[in-house]
Amino acid sequence: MMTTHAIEVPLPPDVDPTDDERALVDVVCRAIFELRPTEGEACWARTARLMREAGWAVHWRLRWVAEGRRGGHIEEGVGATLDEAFGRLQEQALQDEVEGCP
Amino acid sequence: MAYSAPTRALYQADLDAIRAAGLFKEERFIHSPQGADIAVEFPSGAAPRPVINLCANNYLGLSSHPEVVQAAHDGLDDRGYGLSSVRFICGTQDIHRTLEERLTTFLGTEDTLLFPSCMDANGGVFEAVLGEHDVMIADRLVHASIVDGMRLCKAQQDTFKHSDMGHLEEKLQEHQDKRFRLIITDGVFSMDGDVAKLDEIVRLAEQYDAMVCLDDSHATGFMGPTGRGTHEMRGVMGHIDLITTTLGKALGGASGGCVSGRRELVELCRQRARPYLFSNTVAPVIVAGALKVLDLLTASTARRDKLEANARYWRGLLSEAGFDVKPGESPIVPVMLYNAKLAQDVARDLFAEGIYVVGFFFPVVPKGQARIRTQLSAAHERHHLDRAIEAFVKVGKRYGVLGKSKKELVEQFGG
Repeated sequence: MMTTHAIEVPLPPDVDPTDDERALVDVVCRAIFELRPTEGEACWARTARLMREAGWAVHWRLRWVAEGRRGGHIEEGVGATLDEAFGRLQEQALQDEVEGCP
Repeated sequence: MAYSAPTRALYQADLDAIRAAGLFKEERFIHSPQGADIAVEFPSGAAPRPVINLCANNYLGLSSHPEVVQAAHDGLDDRGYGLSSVRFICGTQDIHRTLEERLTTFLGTEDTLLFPSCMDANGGVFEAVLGEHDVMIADRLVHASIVDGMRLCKAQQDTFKHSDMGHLEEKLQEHQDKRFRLIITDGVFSMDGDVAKLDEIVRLAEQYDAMVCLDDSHATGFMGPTGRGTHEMRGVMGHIDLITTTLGKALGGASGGCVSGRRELVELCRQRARPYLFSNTVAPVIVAGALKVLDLLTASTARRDKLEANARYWRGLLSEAGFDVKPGESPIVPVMLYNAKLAQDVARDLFAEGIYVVGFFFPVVPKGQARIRTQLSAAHERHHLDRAIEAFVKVGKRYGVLGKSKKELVEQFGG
């Protein structure tokens, strides 16, 4: 059975974090976890190595993902900043604002 | 995974949701060739009944033209039924090359490449000519196939408000850091029937170093004095870098489409466009028919002239009768009703009166913009249109929509 480790960060009594702030802490912790040293070659590092061996120039970076859902319709925007991600999301959503006549 | 009962139930729930939303599309079976007068079986199993067709893209009335049909027969006899190949392996006949050359001349471009459809042309063209350092800036009412093609392309996607040249200019200024800027628009917009401001778009493109891509599917063959399309109509032939269009509407109405434009861009499509590379060649019978269509169109402008006169006459009839008609210069004439249920009810009642039209409502058109889209054809004679207006007036009176403004219609029926 998998053991779950928790880190508790006491906040000053007058601090009431918003949902966005909680999400940010969650994302940062996950990013740190992804980068922790592991024994041997990590799975993602192996994939990157194999792709480089196959001639790909491989880079990685952290990005924001903005997602919009309406019924079964899902749109996504990715960007280096939240503004960029939401800008892309808006572009995607606007393109399909109407389905259009054949 | 087996197609289990729960799987089936989930798919059925999806279908039920589509039906509950009033978006379920039902095919109507036509028991005749395409034309102004057709025999339609609807609902399924009913005896076919004669109706006047006001909803086809058969703008020039060539879908069943005897000379086109004969040319198709001759093509079938001379070059066979199919080629069992993509174009670049063993699927290119001399007539494919001839048709591409004829389309190039007709559209006033440098080169042309045939696709199985214009949907495929739009699906493949952007990915073939643009990359991650480029941007596509599309009118917000472009055809769905352009939206799909843009999604398949790695260039940045952006849009401008429908026909808003000020907004387009802002976007062009914003994207000056990109390698290439491509403005994308329909020539005639299929929902409203309005025509793109191509002269202004070309002026902005030249000012801000952008290319222009035009989907002229609802225009090729009849817009402009000799039917070359909206680029002829707006006086910018030779200034459009990419034109996509279809053989499936005015040009015989069978299937097939093309990308036409700058030589290098078309050649890149030949090398990279996946719908061209990985789907079958356009069938010889269609190529032969399309060549005859171009013969007819270059010999005379009579058919596009008649279509123009029909559209003007029909707009006049509707307006005089008191319908709210979208102004425009194309043979797409939307009768605005604004309410989705009303549009469906009116279309159903018109069918009962022997007039075949379709009601369009959200998400096909924006919310509160429901309408009956009527489409004119050179195959229509005055008696067809006179008969159609009788039915429109009869049904219009039944629902009390005649002489009502948009505000009054929305107040009465809801938007």
